[in-house]
Amino acid sequence: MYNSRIADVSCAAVAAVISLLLWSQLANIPEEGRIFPMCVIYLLLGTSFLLAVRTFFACKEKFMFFGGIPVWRWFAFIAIYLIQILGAMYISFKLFMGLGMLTTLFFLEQKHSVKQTIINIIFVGCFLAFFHVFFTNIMNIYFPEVIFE
Amino acid sequence: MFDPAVVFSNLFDPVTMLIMALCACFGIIMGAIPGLSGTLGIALLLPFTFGVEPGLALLMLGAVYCGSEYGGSIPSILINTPGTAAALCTTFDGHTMAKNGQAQKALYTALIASVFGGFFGVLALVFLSVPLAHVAMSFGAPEQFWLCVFALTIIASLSSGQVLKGIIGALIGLICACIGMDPITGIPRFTFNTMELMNGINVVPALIGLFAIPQAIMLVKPADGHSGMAPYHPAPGVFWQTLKDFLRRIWVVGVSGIVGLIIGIMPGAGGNIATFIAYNETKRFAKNPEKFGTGIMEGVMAPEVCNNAVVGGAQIPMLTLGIPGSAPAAVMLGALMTHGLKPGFSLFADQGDVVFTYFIGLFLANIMILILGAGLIRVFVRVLQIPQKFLVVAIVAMSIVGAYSINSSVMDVLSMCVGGLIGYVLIRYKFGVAPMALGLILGGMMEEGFKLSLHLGSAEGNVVMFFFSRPQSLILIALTVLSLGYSIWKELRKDCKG
Repeated sequence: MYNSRIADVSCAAVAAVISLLLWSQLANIPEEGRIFPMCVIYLLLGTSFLLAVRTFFACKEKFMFFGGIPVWRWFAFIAIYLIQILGAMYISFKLFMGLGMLTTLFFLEQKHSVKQTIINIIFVGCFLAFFHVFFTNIMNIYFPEVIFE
Repeated sequence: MFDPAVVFSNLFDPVTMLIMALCACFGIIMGAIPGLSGTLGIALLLPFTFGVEPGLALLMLGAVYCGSEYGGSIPSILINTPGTAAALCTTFDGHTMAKNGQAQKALYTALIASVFGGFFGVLALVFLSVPLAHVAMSFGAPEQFWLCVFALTIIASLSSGQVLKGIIGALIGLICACIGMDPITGIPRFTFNTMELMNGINVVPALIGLFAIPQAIMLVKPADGHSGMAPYHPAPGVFWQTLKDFLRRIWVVGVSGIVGLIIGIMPGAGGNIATFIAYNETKRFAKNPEKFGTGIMEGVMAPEVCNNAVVGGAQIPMLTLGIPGSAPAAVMLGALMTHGLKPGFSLFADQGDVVFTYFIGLFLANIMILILGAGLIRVFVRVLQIPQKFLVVAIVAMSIVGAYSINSSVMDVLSMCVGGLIGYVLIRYKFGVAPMALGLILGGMMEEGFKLSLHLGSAEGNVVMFFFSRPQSLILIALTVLSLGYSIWKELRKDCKG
């Protein structure tokens, strides 16, 4: 937990850095294509500066990035989420969706039991079956299965 | 403008009715679960609409929107926790009624009020959209640009609570909308030499990410246990008695409906603000204002009529001007564009059947909500007991599948993923998600208006005059300055007091 001043100043700094990075990307573009994003970037730089200045006149407030979620829990959830997405898109959709969902369920449980695990497996199985029937069989959307092709 | 035979044959098809009923149920459940919302429901349902006609697709999303506004009242009444932000006011009298042993009456009051509010909003949608669409027809390129500026500034002022942060959020959205090939020169912008970004960011997956993933992350917080459900003992005959009592207080529908409608039409304001104003106004007009907060029907009716009237109100600028009046309307606008429908006068002129199928369908959706709400209330009450872990997993899985199913594109899933993380950061740092979402949606339209105005202005010999001299443009500029000035003044006053 830290105060809102640090949060706002860091936000302003990040916005300014992103603006400069994007500004450098417009170097070789003709004026026709550059004028609108340029205006937006200048406005973003200006408002970031104003936000940083305003921060010093505003009162300090407590700020919680994790919003009451234990830090390890937050990072573990994000890690599972990212692995689930990347695995599902680049390796095997069914395998990583199933594993990702089961891992998340297991991880969010307060008490583990065989009964809960069976319920979780049924829940995940139903979801995967629904995806297969609705999206693949009815809507003809085929999810990536790179390792099984 | 539309063929009634086509509209009614579309609507009274049994499959359409069944789908609408299922979507209304889904919406009620999304609204009833604290932490979820109608916006999330619409975002998650969006991929399921791709295989159907645009009219039915809009109806599905509209039914979810209407259902969620009612659903939000269920936890407000039973566990004193609003299901949606707009249902916060319902806790004041709704939960007190429930604690006094009138839970069933409070739930039926919320249901009937929601349906009446829904009717009010849809009536306004029918009668105000067409005239506003005619006004929109007179808009040229500069007005298109200024309209976007107005919408972005007002949503930035109202949605995040801090004007400057809201504007930064909207500007980030505009920058994201510029990614990809420039529509006029065809030169890639902000692509960092990657082929994947050449086509730009697909709005719908980004919206799914922005609205769904932050909700899922916030639900990871260990459950703190509800304060306990108020006693709920269903008894026969309560519905009809509640309806009679409701009709005796029908004036509340007028007051709260008008407030909901006006605030709904204002871009970005949405139901959250409207319900508080409606509650206060109803209290002011009431014979016994001191009884508000002690568990009276008027206290439940006012916010519920209002937040459902907002549904219709928010869609008036969305359909006529392409400017959404609320966050769910913003996602619906994305859906509209994905289905190849362009808001404005042409939508009413060329797709009249779709539009009027939607309008009349919204009436039916509200009737369905009344029937479902009265018949399945016990089921919806049980929804409150669904463990959070299942919700988190379902939201994440549906978001991934939904984003992929739009174009079968891995890039869309990655946009959703990154959009979700950005959305979480924006919410935590109090920037709000809505300004960025609207910036992303309106970016293309705004740039088009800006560039066209520049060309036309230089052809006329004076660019500045072309931007600033047309009467409609001047009205929009005045509205922008007024709304921005008022928000800044309000914030400065708050700072001085703080």
